Amino acid sequence: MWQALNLELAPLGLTVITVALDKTLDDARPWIEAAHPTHPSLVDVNYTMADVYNMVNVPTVLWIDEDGRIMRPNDVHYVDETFSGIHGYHAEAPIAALRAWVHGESSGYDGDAVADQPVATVEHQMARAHFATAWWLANHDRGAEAEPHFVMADELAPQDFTIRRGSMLMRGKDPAGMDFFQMVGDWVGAGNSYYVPQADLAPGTSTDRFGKFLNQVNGGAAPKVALRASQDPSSSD
Amino acid sequence: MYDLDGQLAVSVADLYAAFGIERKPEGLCIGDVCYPVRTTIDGAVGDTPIVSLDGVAATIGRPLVIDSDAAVACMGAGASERSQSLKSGYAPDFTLPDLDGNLHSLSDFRGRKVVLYAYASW
Repeated sequence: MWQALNLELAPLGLTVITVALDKTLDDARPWIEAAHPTHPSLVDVNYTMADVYNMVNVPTVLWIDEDGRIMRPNDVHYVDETFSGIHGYHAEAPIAALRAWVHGESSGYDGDAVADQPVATVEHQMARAHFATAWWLANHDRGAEAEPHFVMADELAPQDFTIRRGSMLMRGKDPAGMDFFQMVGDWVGAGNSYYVPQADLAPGTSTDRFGKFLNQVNGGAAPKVALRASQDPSSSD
Repeated sequence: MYDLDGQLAVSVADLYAAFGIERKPEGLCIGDVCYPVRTTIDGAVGDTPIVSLDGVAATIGRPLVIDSDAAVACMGAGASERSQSLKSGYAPDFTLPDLDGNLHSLSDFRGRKVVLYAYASW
């Protein structure tokens, strides 16, 4: 869908840039090739974007204007309905807002985009340093030495699922199966949110619907589903 | 790597090569920004000036992970550096490859609106 939006809106001055946070180019390759993107479709094997923009989950979207200013801070925008039955977030409002913005209206963001852009804490940056250490060790077939650093990263930044979920494959866990459901279920069950979009483009969804659903899965109260396609940028094209 | 009073140390040359941090008389400098050094971080091995990595990290506010058993050290980006960047209101630049290895920077698209979308295959 991002490819379709890029084709529609590029003549009006928009560029879509997608960035896959994946451990190798080949992990991202099937998804990108399936989408046939004509926009920059990049791969970030070191999760640099997550660090620089303080992203804690995927997908994360930012809007940036012609001068390079952040007009919409980190947010969750789904631009198709593939998993809306699960997480309750719909594509209509984000797409309509994006079209309006590209056509010259305001970004429509009713908060302070700069103040609302989350910034990292000392603990979070230490978590990222442990994650980077673990990543390097794991990439050099030193998984046993990497594990304590993955654990430290998890403990220092339990809210960061680019770390906690994003490291699962390297740790022999399933990031789209029960290991993931268990992790998020425990997190949400302890009273935390998994992923809540900014309210203005997700009306009526200010509660953490996705997290609640995953917690139900963890408790056996909801059907198990495969989430592996949930972050693909253009699978519905 | 060197030992400086029990702390892991690197040469001043390697500090700059690896992290872009210069040891100058006025302090530790990253580009035009210099941080005054308030503790002892310097030493020498022969004619080679060295600095303590712990001292560098503490001075400029960066996280430092040292795993002596694995012989690995990692110094990340500091919270204040990241905060100042984002609170400027301007999207931090980055350069990343596409599948063909071609590099793209956010700044290449200045003058156009950009939607930046991060996702993952996992």
